[in-house]
Amino acid sequence: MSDPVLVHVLRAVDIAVVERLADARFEIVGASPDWLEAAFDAAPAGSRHTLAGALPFLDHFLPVADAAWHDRGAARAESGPFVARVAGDELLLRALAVTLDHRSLLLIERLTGDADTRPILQTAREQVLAMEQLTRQAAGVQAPAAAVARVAAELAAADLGPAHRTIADALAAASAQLQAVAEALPKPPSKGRRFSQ
Amino acid sequence: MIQKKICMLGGFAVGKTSLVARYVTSIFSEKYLSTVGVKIDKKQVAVDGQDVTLMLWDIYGQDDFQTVQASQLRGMSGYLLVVDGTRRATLETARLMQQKAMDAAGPVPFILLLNKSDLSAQWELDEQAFFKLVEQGWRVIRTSAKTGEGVEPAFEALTRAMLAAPAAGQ
Repeated sequence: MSDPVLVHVLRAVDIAVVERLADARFEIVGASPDWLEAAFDAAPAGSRHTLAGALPFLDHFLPVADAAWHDRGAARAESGPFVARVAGDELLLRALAVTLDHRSLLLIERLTGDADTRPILQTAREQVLAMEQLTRQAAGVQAPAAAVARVAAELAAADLGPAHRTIADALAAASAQLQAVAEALPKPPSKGRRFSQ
Repeated sequence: MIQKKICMLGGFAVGKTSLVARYVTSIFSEKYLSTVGVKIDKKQVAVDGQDVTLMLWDIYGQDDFQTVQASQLRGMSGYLLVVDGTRRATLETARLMQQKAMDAAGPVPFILLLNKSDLSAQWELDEQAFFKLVEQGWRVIRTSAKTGEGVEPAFEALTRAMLAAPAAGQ
C-alpha cells in the first residue's frame, strides 16, 4: 500500500483501508478519509481511538471479519450497508474484510452516487405506500359498484313498463361502465405474497 | 455496565426509526425517511437500580427491496416488533420477522408495538387481532412515536424482561 498512486486512488473512491495488526490493534493504511477522521473525533471519549468506538456497527462485524481473515469459512466477508452519523450527516458505509499477501485488511467504503441506494429505495417505498393507499380507496369503490351491478341486474330482469325499461337499461349500462372501472383499480395482493423471503 | 443489544424489527414505514428517535432524542418528524442499512443508537438507562447501556439497532424494514439478514440479529438480547396499525399487512410481516428472530437469536424477550396509535381512527387492525396476539402469549403495547404514548414504557418493559432473562446475548 506504499504506492502513492494507489493511496490516491483509494482516497478518490472514498475507501479507507485499515489493517488488523498481530496484537489485535488496527492501523489505518495510507491516507485516512476526512469522514473517518471525523468519526474518530465524534466517538465517545472512552473509545475514541478504537475502530468500533468510531463506527459501532463494526463491533458486530469484526468477529465476522476475523473469521474471514483466519480463513475460517469465507475468504472475504462483507458487512452490508450501515449508517454512521458523522458531523451531523448520515453516511452510508460498507465494510469488506479481505486477506491480501497475508495481511488482514478491512476496506471501509463510503457509498455515494449510484452506490447510495437511499434515494431509490425512498422513492420505491413511497410508491408502494401510495399504491397501498390507492388499493384501500379502491376497495371502498369496488364493493358499492358490485352492489349497484346486482341491483341493476335485478331491475333489468323485472317486468317493467316501457318508461321504466328505459331507465333500467340506462342504469345497467352505467353500472357496467362503473363496474369495469372498479375492476381495473388495484386489488390487495394475495395473502402470503407481500414480499419475497 | 451491562450492555444489551435491542433490534427494531418490522415492515417498512411502520415507525421503527421514529420510535428510536422519540426514545433517544424526544424528537418526532412527520417526514418519512426510509432506512437503508443498519443504524445504531445508544441510550443509557437505569432500570430497577441497574445501569444498562442499550444498543438500539434500527434495522431497515423488511420488504421486496431489502431482506433482513440473520447475522444482524445475532447477539441481540431482545427486540421490538413494530406494526403499523393503519396497515394490516404489517402484522403479517411482523409474524415472519418474529420467526426469523427466533431462528437467529433463540427465545429472547420481545414486545410487539402497535404503532401509530395517534391515527387509531384509520386503523385496519381491530381489537380481535390484538387479543389473538395476547392469547398467543405475546406482550403487546400501543405506541405512538408522534405523541410519545407507550414509547418509554415499551423500552423499559423490554429492558426489564432482558435483565430477568437468562444471560444469552449479553
